[in-house]
Amino acid sequence: MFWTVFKFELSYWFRRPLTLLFFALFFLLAFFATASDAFIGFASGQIHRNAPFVLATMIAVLTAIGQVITTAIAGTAVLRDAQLGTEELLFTTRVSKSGYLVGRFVGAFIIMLVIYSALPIGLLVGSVMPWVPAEKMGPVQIAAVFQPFFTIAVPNLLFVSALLFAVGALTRRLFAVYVTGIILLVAWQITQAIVGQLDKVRLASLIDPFAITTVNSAVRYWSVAEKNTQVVPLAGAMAQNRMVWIAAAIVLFAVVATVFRLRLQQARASHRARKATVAERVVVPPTPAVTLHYDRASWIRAFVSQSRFHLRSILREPPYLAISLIYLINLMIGLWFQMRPQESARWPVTSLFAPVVGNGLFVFTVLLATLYGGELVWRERQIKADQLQDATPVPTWVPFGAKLLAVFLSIAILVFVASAGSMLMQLSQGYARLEPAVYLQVIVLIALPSALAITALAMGVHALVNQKFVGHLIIIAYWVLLQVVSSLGFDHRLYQVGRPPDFTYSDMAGWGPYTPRVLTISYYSIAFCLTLASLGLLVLVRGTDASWSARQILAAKRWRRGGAVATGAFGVAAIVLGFLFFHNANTLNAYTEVHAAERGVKAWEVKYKPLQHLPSPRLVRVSLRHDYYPERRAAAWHGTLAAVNRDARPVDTLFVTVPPSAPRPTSLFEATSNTGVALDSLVFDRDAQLVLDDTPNGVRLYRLAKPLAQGDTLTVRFAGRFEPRGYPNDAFNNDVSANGSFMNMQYVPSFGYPEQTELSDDEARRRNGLEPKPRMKKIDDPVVRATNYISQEADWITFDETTCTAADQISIAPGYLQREWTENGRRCFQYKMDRPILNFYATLSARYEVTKADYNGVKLEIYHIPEHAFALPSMMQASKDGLDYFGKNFSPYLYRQYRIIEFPRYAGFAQAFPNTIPYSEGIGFIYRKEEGDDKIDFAYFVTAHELAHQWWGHQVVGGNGQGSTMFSEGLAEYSALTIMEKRFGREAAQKFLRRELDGYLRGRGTERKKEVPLLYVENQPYIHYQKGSLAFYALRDYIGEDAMNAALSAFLAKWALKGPPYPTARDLYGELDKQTPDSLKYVLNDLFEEMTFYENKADTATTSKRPDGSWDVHLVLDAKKLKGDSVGTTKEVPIADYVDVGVYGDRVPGQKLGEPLLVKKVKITQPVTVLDVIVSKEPKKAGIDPYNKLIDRTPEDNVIAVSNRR
Amino acid sequence: MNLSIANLSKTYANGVRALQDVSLDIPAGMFGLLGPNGAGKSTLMRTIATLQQADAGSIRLGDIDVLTQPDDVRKILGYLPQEFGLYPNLSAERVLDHFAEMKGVANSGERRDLVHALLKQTNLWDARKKAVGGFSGGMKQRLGIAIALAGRPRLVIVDEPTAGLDPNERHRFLNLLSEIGDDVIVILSTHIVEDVRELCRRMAIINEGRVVLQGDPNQVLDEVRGHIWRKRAAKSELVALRAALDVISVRLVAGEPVIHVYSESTPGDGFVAVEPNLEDVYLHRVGTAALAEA
Repeated sequence: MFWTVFKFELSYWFRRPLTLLFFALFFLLAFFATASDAFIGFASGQIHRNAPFVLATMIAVLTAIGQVITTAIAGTAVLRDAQLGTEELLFTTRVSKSGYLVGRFVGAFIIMLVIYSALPIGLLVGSVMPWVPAEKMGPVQIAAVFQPFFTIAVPNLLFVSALLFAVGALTRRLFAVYVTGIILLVAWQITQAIVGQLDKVRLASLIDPFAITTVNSAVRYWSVAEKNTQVVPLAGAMAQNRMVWIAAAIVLFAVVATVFRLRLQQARASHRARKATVAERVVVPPTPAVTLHYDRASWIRAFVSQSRFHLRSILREPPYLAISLIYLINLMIGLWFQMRPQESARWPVTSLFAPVVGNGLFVFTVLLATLYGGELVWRERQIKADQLQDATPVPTWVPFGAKLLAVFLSIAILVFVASAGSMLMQLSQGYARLEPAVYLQVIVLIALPSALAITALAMGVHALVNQKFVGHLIIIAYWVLLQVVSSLGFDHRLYQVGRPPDFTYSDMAGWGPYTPRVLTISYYSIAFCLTLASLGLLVLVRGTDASWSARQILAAKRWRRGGAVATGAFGVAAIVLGFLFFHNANTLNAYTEVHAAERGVKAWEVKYKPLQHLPSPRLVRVSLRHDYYPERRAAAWHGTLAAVNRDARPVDTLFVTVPPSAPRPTSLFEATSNTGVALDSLVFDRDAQLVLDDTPNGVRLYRLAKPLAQGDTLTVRFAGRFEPRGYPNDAFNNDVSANGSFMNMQYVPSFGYPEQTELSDDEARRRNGLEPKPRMKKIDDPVVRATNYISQEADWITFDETTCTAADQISIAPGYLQREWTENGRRCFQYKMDRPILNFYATLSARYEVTKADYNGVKLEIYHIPEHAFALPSMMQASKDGLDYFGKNFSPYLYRQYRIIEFPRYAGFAQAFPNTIPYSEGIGFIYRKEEGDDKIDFAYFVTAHELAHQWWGHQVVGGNGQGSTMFSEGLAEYSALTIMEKRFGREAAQKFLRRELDGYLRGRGTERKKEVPLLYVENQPYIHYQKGSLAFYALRDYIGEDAMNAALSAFLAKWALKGPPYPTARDLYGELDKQTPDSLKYVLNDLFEEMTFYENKADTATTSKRPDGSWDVHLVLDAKKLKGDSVGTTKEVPIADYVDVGVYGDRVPGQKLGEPLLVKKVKITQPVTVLDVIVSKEPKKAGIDPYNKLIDRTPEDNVIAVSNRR
Repeated sequence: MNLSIANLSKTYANGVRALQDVSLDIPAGMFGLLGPNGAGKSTLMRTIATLQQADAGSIRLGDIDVLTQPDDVRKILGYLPQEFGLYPNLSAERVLDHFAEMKGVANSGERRDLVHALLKQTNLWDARKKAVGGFSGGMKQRLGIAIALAGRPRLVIVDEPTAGLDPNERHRFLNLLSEIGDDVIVILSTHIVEDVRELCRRMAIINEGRVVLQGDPNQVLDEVRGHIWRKRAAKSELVALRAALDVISVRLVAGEPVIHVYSESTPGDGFVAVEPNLEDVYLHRVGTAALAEA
């Protein structure tokens, strides 16, 4: 029996073209992932395209989103008999229940496996294609390709098939099967969100049926080399996960086997009870007179009442309620994580929450629109009421339009409920400034238009395609395409119909410049999709003939009767709005696709690089006049530059760099142009002839009539302005906004070839036929000391600026305020620096409120908007603590003021200019200080970091080569950590360091070029920030705080404000070396000169009580030391290191490990060390390197609980 | 108003010739269309009900050209298809209201009165609040006819309405049909000869896409009066009888075969002339036509 059913199932699916379609789809996906540049999401940078890790991830993700396919095959295995009515025939044969169920299931499962096997096959075939560049591929190992298939795909498919099969068999409703699939997907998303909290990684890995999280956690700390060669082993969390979900599949199948009956689905008992017994004849009144109306007004009323009819039916459906609930839960979790990104805490301001409400709806919009759009289009046909309806005189647009409106409203209701929920969450956190108007704006401008467009799209597709399942597939595929298309470089918004437009809402600047773009895109989407819906309506089947010839006849008639007008109207609107957008994005703002922009930059490099080594004068003075026009989002500036020729060669050709308007890539996927920028004049104090004018590309070449000799000074007066035109497709230039402007020195002309303009990414360079270039010059290259890494055009400059802005705003630039006045209704400020600064300055402006304090002769000022007063005390405290500690232990603070200035959330960083710190509204200013020993005060930390830069960066600055960011960023991070530890205690510092360790280890795995030791860091954030703070903190722990400070202050004393020649990291290393005793010099070497890793583990810890009340503790500790290379391959080295060993007692507040009973440094020389110690109180925990000062990929096994020795 | 069908033909994409040169003339009143399964009745009904196109021929309903003016037809049409369903979770009242609105009864007050009247007329008043999904076959059919009547139709088409109903329900339904006014064209398409005999003033027999007979049932019976013979035969005689005579039907009565035979003159011993009934005519015609095809 089983064989018959099984063979039938197989042959049923093998004969269907749909099966081949799925197979082909997966094959092509995998093929293009290896054979082309197309999908760079999984494999990027150094990771090979056919890395086992890539395949594992791809399979895991595709079993999740490939649910539509699993639904079609496994879900319908039993359902089909109910749907087609063959149940009665089948169940009265001799087929046994087990034969039937097992046969159907195994057949469906085998088909699923065959389809998914297209993935490893496609990957293999793709990897042997001759045109694939060799460095993108690893060796072809068949085993490595198929192992992920068997460990990930097979169990995934087993579980998902079992689940959908069970739902299908037990409910006999296809809709329930769809919804189960959706619930599964979202439940998975929620799991992924929970893993954001590090401590729950294990649990999250276990409860992920697709193993996506499991794979990610397993490879979290893998280096690039490991990701390229190793398969994710079937061990540990992965093995447990597989067992759990295979067991779940078996349980599901057992449930089905028990509950299923070879019988028809019984009508519910309650229906039975309601079957009426009709009484005999009632007095029949005469048939009332009715007037029949066929005019437009009556049909419109019918349209309205039918909308209500269909809406009510949707709202009562359990699947709709289930999806709504999932959406809301998902939203709440999203909002929660907005409030707590990576263990920090932020106030739930509306500018943070409302966009989540607006954007989080999209995937649910797509789901509801296609599910219910499809269901409603097919409703009458499915319940067999279609002939009844089609024979009435109702015009086809009435039921179709009513259904469209009903589906749209069912989605609209969700977003209103979501906003209410969001506001409730804000209130529950004690935040009362709800700003309902902003929610309403987001709903009306962003969420609802997208919902209407997608609904119209779904209904149009279903009407056109006339095959429900294919309709669903098309809509889902469209959504998937939308996700992917941007990463392929097709990011023009006109292609991305229905997707909610991008926007940033700022508490400072409100909707800013986004409104016209948002409106145009939203209405364009609506018009486009309504055009499609109209076309669908034209060919919507009516009657019993679904052939194209019948539909053509219907279409012709409907076209004449108003279809032409409707389609035409929507079509024209779409075209007009499309043109409006095109005009703004392409004409006014020169939209360029990223690859074209890259080619432009390549051409620029080819043309101008030969001029790189022309001698250029060095800037010595900047005198600037800056004007902001916030209401127009415009600015103008003019000023004088003075530059000196320090080169022995005379300068006769000046290479002047000006701000370009041409498109430049801003990331791997996007390019922007700066069409609003213009250079109005450039006048030299001597005879200079313009020999090349390539202002759009930022280059002007001047020939000096009389060459500039060494030591001579040149002055130039310049004027420029910025006036934005329309709106771009991608990122706006938001440097100037109505309230919150921030422009830096890049708008001012400079001298010399700007190497930073060149394409830096290896892959981008190769793509454009350029050789990859070294990220940075080697540390010992003498040319490194000739310029600093902040500015290649200048050393130290004298600086003064007058800045004017609107009458109700304050404008700030580095320097001390000389005077403030009003002219022509505008407010002006004059600033002047009384000592030289780096060529690194910025001008800000907004309607600020200023919070001031005076601290030991330094004026502390925070410029912020009135609503963002949350973190001011933290910022002030950090400033005071920093001024104290750094001033005492490093060197005196150079300035008489320290100003923190808020700027809009268009960028999310803080930056240190001389005595001026712009700080984004999105970080810091809305941070919330939480109580608790292990809570990190991020506002404090970031303020401290930026203050530390006033020493590390603005007093001493490194040369333009490897290692310089080690002592600017690394020391800034370390300095901030130091005062934070003093203020908040060791617990907070430890927590912070654990986070830094995680960041470093994860960052290694995504390295695009090569990893380097800290001393040679090439501006890699995961090294200079994360590893930097770990290394300096560890060193301080070994040599002591005084020695550390002695080294740092000596370094400052020697190199502050010097240059050229500038210091390099070797100079700092030298000072540190002087303070390090011989026995510990290996530490210095391990931390800075090499990439050192440990695998420390506490193996055994037992205790027994001694007669005198103290305790013996017996410890067995494992220690392994490894050195790594640039791709992360490690090799073991002998260990002879001092490592902390700790024994801890009961928990005490402030100490996560417990009361320290014994902590000392022990010299470890063996892989296994046995230690016996005595402590005074009962030990609870013990371990090696308990504070995780050493870099270890499994930090959590360093400490274990102490057990009683028997 | 008359319904004139002229030379209507329809062949489906899979080659089945559903209608071949069908011509019928249908006046107001009950018209019965008889034919076996697969004769083309439903195809014809759906074509008149504007749900399908034909390959050739024309249909005129009064002044209206049905094939090219479906909207005008739908305004005066009431159609009860052979197989249909309704929104199972909704009440009879709600469903009827929904369809009445689609038929053009725009005024909600008028519509409500109409719905109540129709429910009473079809004896569904007590069940009006009950969910349609729980209705018995007969109740569903009655609701269907209520829907068909909701737009004050001038043309009512009912396709196989009593198949599967128990005798009580069947009678109730036929009673309802008979009460639809005399000035309305009502086409009853069925394979149950009794229904046509009871209700219809005119009839036609259709088989394999062709009209084999058209006219007044009484006239039709007159034509065969005296030509129908009956005999109680033994099982062993059947083969010989079938070869020799025009056997219309073979029935079992108390286990013994009883045959009806068509013959202009007496067919022989044991045969008795009987009063013809419509079934004899039907079986004779359908059988003859089938034989003619062979």
